[in-house]
Amino acid sequence: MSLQTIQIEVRQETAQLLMEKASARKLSLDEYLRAMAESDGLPRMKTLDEILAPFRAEVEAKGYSEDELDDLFTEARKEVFQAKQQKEQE
Amino acid sequence: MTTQEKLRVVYDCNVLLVAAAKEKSTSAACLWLARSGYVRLFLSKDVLEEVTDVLNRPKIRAAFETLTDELVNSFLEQLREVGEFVRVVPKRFTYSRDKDDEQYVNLAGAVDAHYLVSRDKDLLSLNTGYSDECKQFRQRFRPLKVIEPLDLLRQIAQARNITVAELRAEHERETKS
Repeated sequence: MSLQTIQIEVRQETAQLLMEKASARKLSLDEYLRAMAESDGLPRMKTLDEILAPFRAEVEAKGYSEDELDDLFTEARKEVFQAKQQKEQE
Repeated sequence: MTTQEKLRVVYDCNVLLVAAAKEKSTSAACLWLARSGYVRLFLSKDVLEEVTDVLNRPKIRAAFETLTDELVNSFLEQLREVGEFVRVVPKRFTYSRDKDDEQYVNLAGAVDAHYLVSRDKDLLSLNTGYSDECKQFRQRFRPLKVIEPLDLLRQIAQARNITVAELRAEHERETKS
């Protein structure tokens, strides 16, 4: 199998975004771009609902209401904010 | 509807998180509005960082074993695809009542958003509060309004001449398909 190198120029933000997308899939940038090219375009990505399905199923099974989730996340947000403030003071 | 005519919205951290956690929630329907192009959702580095930080809190991870690094990263990636990322958000507003809410107001101000969507009482009080900060908010960011997720659904349903129930049914149908 002979290999060929293709070089293209992209904007800095595009390069950054591609690296983030590769990293999110635990792939190197090379691997990510090769997968995109070899799958004849963008590899089929899971939809948002597919990604969230296991989490949502667990939330449903545990019976959390929207209000309860809101309270839980509000508490966690406060913790995040306090941790940040503490870090800034150190 | 052209891009220019679409409502510009900012969702606070909790709206995004509840949308992620509960499929049949008002917040999830709001996120679907952005995915379906009914509204333009704006995000910033600070917003995404807060969402990440909350999802990474030990308390949250302990509560939900399915909440893995992979799921969180994929969710954030999808969120960036759904929303429009704003790189520079000038800090024009400070809110002593709740400092961690400032970033949402500033983001909404930076993009001339029509609505900041939140269930947070401190943010909602900006519409009607008597403090100097509330007054400053109304003067500086008019016509921006802080509204609850259900009110955004009402706005969109009204604009489409359908009921909120019909809008929700559409969301459910599209989510299932």
